[in-house]
This record gives sequence, C-alpha cells and structure tokens, in this order.
Amino acid sequence: MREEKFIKFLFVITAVSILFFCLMPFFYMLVISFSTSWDITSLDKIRFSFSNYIEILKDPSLHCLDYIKNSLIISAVSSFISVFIASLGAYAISRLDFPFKFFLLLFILASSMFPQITIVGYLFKFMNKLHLINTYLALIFPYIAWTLPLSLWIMVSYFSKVPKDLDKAALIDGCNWFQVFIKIILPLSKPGFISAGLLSFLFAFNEFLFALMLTIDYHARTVPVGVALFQGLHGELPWGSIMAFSILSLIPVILITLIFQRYIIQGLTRGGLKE
Amino acid sequence: MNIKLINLSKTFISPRRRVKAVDNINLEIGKGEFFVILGPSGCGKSTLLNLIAGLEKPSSGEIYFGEKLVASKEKKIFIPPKDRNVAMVFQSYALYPHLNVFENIAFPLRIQKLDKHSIKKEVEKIAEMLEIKDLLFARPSELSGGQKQRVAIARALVRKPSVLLLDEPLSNLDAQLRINARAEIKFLQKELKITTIYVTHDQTEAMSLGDRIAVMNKGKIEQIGSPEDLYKNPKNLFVAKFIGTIPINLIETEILEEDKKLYGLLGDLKIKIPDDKKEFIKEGKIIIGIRPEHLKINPKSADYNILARVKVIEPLGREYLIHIEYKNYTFKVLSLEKISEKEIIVGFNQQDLYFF
Repeated sequence: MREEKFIKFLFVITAVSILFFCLMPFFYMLVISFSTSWDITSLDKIRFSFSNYIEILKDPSLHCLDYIKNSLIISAVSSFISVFIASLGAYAISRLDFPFKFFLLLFILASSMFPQITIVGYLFKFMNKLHLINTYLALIFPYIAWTLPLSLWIMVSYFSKVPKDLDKAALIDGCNWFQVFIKIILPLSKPGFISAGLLSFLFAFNEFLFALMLTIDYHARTVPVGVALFQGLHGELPWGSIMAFSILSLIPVILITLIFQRYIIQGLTRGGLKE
Repeated sequence: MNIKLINLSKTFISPRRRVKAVDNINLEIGKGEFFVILGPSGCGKSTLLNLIAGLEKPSSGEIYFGEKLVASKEKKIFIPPKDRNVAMVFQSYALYPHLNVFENIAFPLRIQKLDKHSIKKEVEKIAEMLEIKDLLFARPSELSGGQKQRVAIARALVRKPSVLLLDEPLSNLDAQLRINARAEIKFLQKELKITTIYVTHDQTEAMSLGDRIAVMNKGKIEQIGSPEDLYKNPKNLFVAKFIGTIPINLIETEILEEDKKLYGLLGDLKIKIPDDKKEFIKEGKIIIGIRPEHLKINPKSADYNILARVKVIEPLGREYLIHIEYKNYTFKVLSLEKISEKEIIVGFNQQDLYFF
C-alpha cells in the first residue's frame, strides 16, 4: 500500500516537473507580454498592462496582423492542397495492386527526410526565376511538397483500414471509382483527413527557413520570420512587443488544435495500434 | 436474364507466383434460376462471382448477359459493374458504416439520381418486405448480424437488379438464424424471380437453396446438377466427399478377379464391381463409397452383411451417428435407433455403392 502511494507520488512529481519544464517558456512569454518591463528577475518592476498589445496592434508599420494573416492563408492553402493530393495518391496506393508498392512508400518517406537547408539555395534561384519571391506561392509550393509524404502516409493507413468490400459494394451499387472515393472512402477517413491536414497546417505555420529565404517583407512574410526579425519602435530589442506578438499568433493555432485534438490523437495512434 | 460463360479464365499474377483462380469455365445459368456455386475456400468461386459482377476482368473468355456481351478479353469489351444491373450481397454485408439504414438502402437509388419522393417510396416498400421498417434510422453498428443481413439484401433488391449475386451471405450468422434466413432468401428469390447466383462452401446451404449446383474445385467445375443429382450420382470422389451432411464412407480395397468377374475385397467380403466401373481401378485398387444413411443395422435382408464393433455413438437428436469398426476399416452409420450392443450386424445393398 505504502509502495503504491510512493509510486503515485513519484508519478505526480515527474508529471509536474515535465509540465513545468515545458510550460515555463510559455509562462515567461505570457508574463512578459503583459508587463511593462521584461526583466523577470526583478519581480518588483513587473506591472500588469496591455501596453505591449496595444502598441503592436495600433502601429501598422509593424505589420503584425499582416504576418498572422499571411501565415494563416499560406498554412491553410498548403495543408488543404497537400491533403487533397495525398488522399488521391493514398487511394491509388491502398486500392491498386502494383509491384514494389511498399518501396514506393518508403521512397516517398525518404524524400521528406532531406534537410531543408540542402535545397533552400536552389529553391531561391528557382522561385526567383519564376518571379515568385515574396509571394504566397513561393511558400505554398514547397510546403505542399514537404508535407505530402506525411499526409500520404497518414491517409494510406486510414484508407487501408476501410474494408475493400465497401468499394466493391459501392461499385456494384452504381458508383464509378471517383464516386467511391468521395462518397465512401473520404467520409470514413475523416479523422485521418483532419489529422493529416492539421499536421501539415502546423508544419507550415511553424516553418522558418523557407519563409526567411523566400519572402522579403510583410506581403508574404509569415509569423516565425516576423517574430525573428521584429524591429521595435525604439531601437532596443522590444521583448514585450515580441512576446505579445507571439502570444497573438499562437491564438489561432491553439484554437484549431483544441477543436481538432480529438482527431489528431486518433489519427496518430490509429494506424499502428487500433483495429 | 440468363447468363452464359464461355471458356472463362482468370489468372492472378504477382511477382512471386501466378494463380489460376478460374480455369476455363463454361456455364449457362437460366432466367430466374437459383444457381449455387459450391466449393471449398480458395477454389475460385468468389473470383467467378466477381467476374460475373464485373469487379474483376477475365484473363480470357467471354461473359454474356442475355444476348449482350459484357466481358471479353479477346474482343476488348468490358462493361463496368454499374452498367450491368447486378446487385450483390457480401459475406461481411458491406454496409456503409457512416450512413444509416435508410441511406444505405437508398444509396443505389441516389447514385441513379432518382427523385426524393420515389426514393422514399422504394426504400419503404423494400423495408416493409424485409421487415426492417423500424430500423430505418439506426446505424449499421447498432444492428445485429441478422438485421445487417436484411439491410444488405434490401439494398441489393431495392433497384430491381436483373441478376442477384450472393457471396456467402449467411456464413456470419449463427446456426439458428441461418436456417430462417435461408428459407427467406429462397422465398424472396421465388417471389421476385430474379436470376440468382449464390456462392457458398456449405453443402447444406447449397442443397437446400439451389435449383442447380455447380461444385467447384481448384478453379474448375467438377459437376453441375440438381441437388438430388449430385447426391445420387456424384461424378467423382471430390463431389461425393463434398455433398452430404455427414460425409460419405470411403474405403480403398484390393481387387480380386474370379471367373472373369472383379471384386473389391473388404476383409473376406467380396463386393462386386459392375463392369462399367472397371475404369476406376487404379494400381489394383478401387475406392468404394457408401453413405452413412445407406448402412442398415440388423437388416432384414441385404446384399452384404458385416459384423462390426461399435466404437462411438454420437446422439444427433433425432438420429444417432454410430462409428463402427470392421477389419481395420471404420464406417459412420446413421441410425434412428439407439444401440446398446458392442457388436452389430450392418448390411448394405449393391445399388447404394459408389465406385471411384
């Protein structure tokens, strides 16, 4: 009995420490964003205020809302297209019989293992030639390419869980292949669809290197780059404003994740574990 | 609609091997006939059904629906399932899990773009017929096996197909339900007069349902005939073994030639081999078959009698299945009476014997 209690105690302590460790930066960020001073070591200087938020929202030259808008649009478009293409590919892979299917899947996965840095120089030249630098498309295309393998793998695992008898039944009931896909496979793989979409969205939202290289200003710059290159109004590093901006840009992501987290968890664990 | 298969073959090719699942099958199924394809698992019966449905393309040969050629490798014709007006019931029922019962049944009609009003009418009509009207708004996951099966049949019948294909539709039901469902399927088929092809590995189902049965083995048809025909005149060992609730007794015997007549030797009992069965003799041996119900205990008169030891008695309810032993041979005997003796006389007649 005592041993059990002790184990439970250890468990709680560990959980709390890990949580503390993970959430500390967020807490720091939150506190700084709502205070007038950024020196957290001298707590007596810290006063609660909205001034940081008001400052970044009021000043259009900081383009905070532009960055957030850019990020949301680029992430949403690229994740939607990525999942759409991936689901078509996954449908073919899960339904058609062709040799070396598994190797194809591995090959696709391998392509996502490339370090981004190896390709970014070429990508810059390429986008420059297409006159796409500093446009949404400059980021949307690479993001689609980068998230496709993951989306494909998730969708394949979902589609192969849909019994083939359902395909057959739908074909006999009068569907063509595309109708089978739309009316049967997609509705049954909704969690997979959502989790693949969310993961792609989060990747695009967090991505830094491509965004840094392929955008120039607020027309296409995304939040991570915006935060990194944040220029204050007063010369010194405006920590308060940076933190306020970070918190602001987190809100949509947190909202989306909260709404769909049920599906993410299902989506990630389902392929391997659950029948 | 009648269906004709001409030299139909299907070979599956994978990097490692090729499997001839359907091997040169010729078959004609009459209009309104209840045709059963019977065979062990892996014999190609489901592939044959898929070929007829249009879910598989033949490797060679032709399929006719009535006068219309629906599939031919040689003439490069292939009509997809949606244009063949076939309906199919699957072993797994294959109900769409995300749709309720109403939408499941309505699915083929929605694909046909029938108007809302007619869809409602048709679905309710068929639901009434199959007594699932109170389930219309349930999800498939909430249904029992028997109910799922009814929904699957309703979905198949709702658009009035010209051919109904059933792929082991009863194997997921428990025994009690299966007998009822069997009768119901037969009744529906007779009522609607739809040409029906029914695939099963269960000979009882095949016997009770089929107007005609084709016994399949290793991609080939071993014998086609009415249930009585298959039971009384099995063409070969495979069919004899496969048909019959309690498997046929098969004994391999040595041959004895005496006065230009041939006998199979069962211990010291000489069993006459008719002249037209001589072709079955191989390497001085022949297989003699007799069905358990044709072995009589303490018969008044019989062509052959043996004194056998009783090994095991299995009560089957109405009957008893008695395992007996005679000179290293074991037989199964079906008897209406219970036996208490250790040794019994068992008799059988020449006309009930099969030779393979």
